[in-house]
Amino acid sequence: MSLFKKAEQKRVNSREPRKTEAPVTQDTQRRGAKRQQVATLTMSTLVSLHKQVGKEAFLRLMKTPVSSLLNCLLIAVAFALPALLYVLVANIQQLGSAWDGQPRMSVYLSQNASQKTIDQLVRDYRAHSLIETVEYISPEQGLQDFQSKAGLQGVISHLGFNPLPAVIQLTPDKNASFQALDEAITQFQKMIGVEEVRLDRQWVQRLQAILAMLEQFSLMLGGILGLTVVLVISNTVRLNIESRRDEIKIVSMVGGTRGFISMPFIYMGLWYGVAGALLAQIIVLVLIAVLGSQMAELAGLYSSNMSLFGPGLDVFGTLLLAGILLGGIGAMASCYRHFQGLVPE
Amino acid sequence: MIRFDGVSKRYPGGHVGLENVSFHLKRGEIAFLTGHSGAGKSTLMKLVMLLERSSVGQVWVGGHNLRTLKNSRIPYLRRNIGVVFQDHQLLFDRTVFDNVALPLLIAGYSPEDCAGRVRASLDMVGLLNKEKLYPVALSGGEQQRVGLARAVVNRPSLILADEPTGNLDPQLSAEIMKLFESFNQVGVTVLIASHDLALVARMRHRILTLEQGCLVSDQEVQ
Repeated sequence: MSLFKKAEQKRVNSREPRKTEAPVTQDTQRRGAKRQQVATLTMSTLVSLHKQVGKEAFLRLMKTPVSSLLNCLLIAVAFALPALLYVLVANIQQLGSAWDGQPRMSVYLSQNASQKTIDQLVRDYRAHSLIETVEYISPEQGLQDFQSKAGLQGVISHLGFNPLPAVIQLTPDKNASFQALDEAITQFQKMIGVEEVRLDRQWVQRLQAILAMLEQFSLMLGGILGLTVVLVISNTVRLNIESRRDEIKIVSMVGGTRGFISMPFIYMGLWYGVAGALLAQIIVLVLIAVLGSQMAELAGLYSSNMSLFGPGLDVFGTLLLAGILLGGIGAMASCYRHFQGLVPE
Repeated sequence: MIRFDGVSKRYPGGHVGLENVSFHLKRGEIAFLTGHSGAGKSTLMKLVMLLERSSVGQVWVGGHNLRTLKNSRIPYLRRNIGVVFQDHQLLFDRTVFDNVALPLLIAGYSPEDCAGRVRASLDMVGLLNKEKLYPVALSGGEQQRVGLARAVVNRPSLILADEPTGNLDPQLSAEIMKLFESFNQVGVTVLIASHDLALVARMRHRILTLEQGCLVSDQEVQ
């Protein structure tokens, strides 16, 4: 019995309707062809296709767990470095602002300033728009404070005179910019009876400037390492494209569009990006935990309860977004380059 | 369905694939393309599928002038053409069912719609009971029939077969050819490239003969 007859027999048995029962006229044939073209992608079909392709891409990575993991680690390290730096900078920033929430300004008066000059100065400061509170500390009061605080009564009483100058303590407006304060300082410096003006938060501000620079640096580092991630992923995808050339040819031959053929590779890039971001988050968490425990020990010696905070949701979200974005870009770049000659553009 | 109008294909380096070939294969016709290897059979097939473009002359497929068809439209042209190869070109990491379903998946059919069509197609080539197997578990003839099922599953209006019986024994070859005839009987245009002259002669269909890139004879049905 010929194959065809066998098939015919089976069809009769299974009562399955034959694909095209009657001899097809040219007309119906053409209609059939038209229907194929119109077989549009409905939303649910599209979603199930993406689900399937995404799953297949994931399973494909799982088939070679060791090399996939190594690739993910490579990506994770590239992500973890800038993230770690960022988290550390954020921690130090936090400490800086916790230590001194509000800057204070000390105006040291010259020894020979008369009470009248001092009163005038206090009035002037009260009227200044940048200054919130003004407190006059006379040399005597200063001496009392000093003795009660430092326990150094003896030292100063031995001197026989009070070496402390009169001071006016100013609290500037919290929202005043560094530059505005700078201008105010030079202005105060020139006033009669003023010896010196100091902003006691200058060092914090300097630290913060350094930290801002470090933050910038972590972003730049992130940019460079992001490029590395794109290159790693596009290279991995390239190898995958090479090993699946035959499959690509076949899919292209039976009418797969460039987008359809790219899909599994783009999903692969996305998986790598996401897995790398997850691993990076874990690496940063672990490193911060280790650093934090050591710092707690150190802080314990100084009877302080400083502690490090780990990467938050913002860091994780950024990593995840970067992973998805860079993975997609890397994979697409690879598809664009290596489909040449395989798939019509 | 297929019209060649003074078509030449020259490759870089001076090799001539086809030289001034003209013929017309009407809708619903079946024809064989013969010639020694290297005579240009595969080149002709590639031009029809737009795997390559002609250097000179016009190729028309299903009313489309391929010279003016944009690259982005090529996939949609190919969805209307079922292709069968000598080396089957199956995906070995997927089951018979998934292999046959591929063109439907590409064309955007939902999985439910796919299943019925795939089974109908596999039934037609007599492989319904092997849908869950992987291609490696099949014989050469069975693999070729899977390729055939894949070619017809999307109900194309044109089937191209490049040496579909190349590696098969005479009996299997005859059976494969009968399948092609049965598709032709329901209105599908079929073009089969083969160098098996004896088999081709027995089938009594139109025969186009190529020799060194030139169409040397065009025998109508006897």
